[in-house]
Amino acid sequence: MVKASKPLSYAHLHAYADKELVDPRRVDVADFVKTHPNLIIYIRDYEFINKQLHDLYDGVLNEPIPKRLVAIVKRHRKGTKRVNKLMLILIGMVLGGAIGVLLHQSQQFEVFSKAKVLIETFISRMI
Amino acid sequence: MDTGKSQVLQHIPALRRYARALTSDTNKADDLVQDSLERALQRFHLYQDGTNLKAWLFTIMHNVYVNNVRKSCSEPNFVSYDNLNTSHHNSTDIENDVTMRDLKCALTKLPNDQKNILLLVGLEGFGYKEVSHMLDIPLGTVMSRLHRAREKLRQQMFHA
Repeated sequence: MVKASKPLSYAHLHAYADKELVDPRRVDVADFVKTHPNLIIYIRDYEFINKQLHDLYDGVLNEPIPKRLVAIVKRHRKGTKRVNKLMLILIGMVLGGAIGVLLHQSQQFEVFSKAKVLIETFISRMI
Repeated sequence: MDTGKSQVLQHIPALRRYARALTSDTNKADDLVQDSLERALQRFHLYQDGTNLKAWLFTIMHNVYVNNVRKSCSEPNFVSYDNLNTSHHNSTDIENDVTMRDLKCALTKLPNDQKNILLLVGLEGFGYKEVSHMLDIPLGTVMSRLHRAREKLRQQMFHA
């Protein structure tokens, strides 16, 4: 938005036509234009050009989107999904490996602790 | 991210409209949209969630267009007669048709830096500050180029 408290210029006429002015300045311009009818012509022309642009090109919005354009988006979405799947598989593999290592270590610890108990009982019997 | 990419679809009609107005040619316009979508989706990781996706896509299209124009600056800029006469409105008003054809002709004569701004503001409804940010130019430059563009159109359409 164009701020207020600047001297009036053609830029303000454009900003007025484009509804870019905030209120104190918008009212200033509206009042000024009322007393200067030659400036109204400019604003009307600017607004008319905007309207004509819409009349000329808005029909494109209702045209069916060409398949080649939709295909690009779909292809990139599939690409993202594929990457996501790969990431999940990788995470699964890393987690599986980690769990395997932990289990192996805990089994080793179990064997070690059992052996320790056996040795301790053997030593105690010997004594 | 995937949802973001899906949202790109809803902006394609507006991208096509802007491209059509820029190039005045249906095929060139869709080629421009295609190149822009490819670039945008390849660099989608650079898009920040929650920011204006439409403005981001239009910025990319602007850059692609500028690059294309630079590449093809040695080629003559033909406007096909068919395209010039293909209007996308249902009006049967001959005067209106003439005015719109005048506008289309006048647009092709505008320098690209002025045409971009006129279309982004007048057709796509972006604010001056948004355009300034999108094209990476000062706000004053946006306003002065817009003024020059509209004055040229006024001269050609209403005072020729």
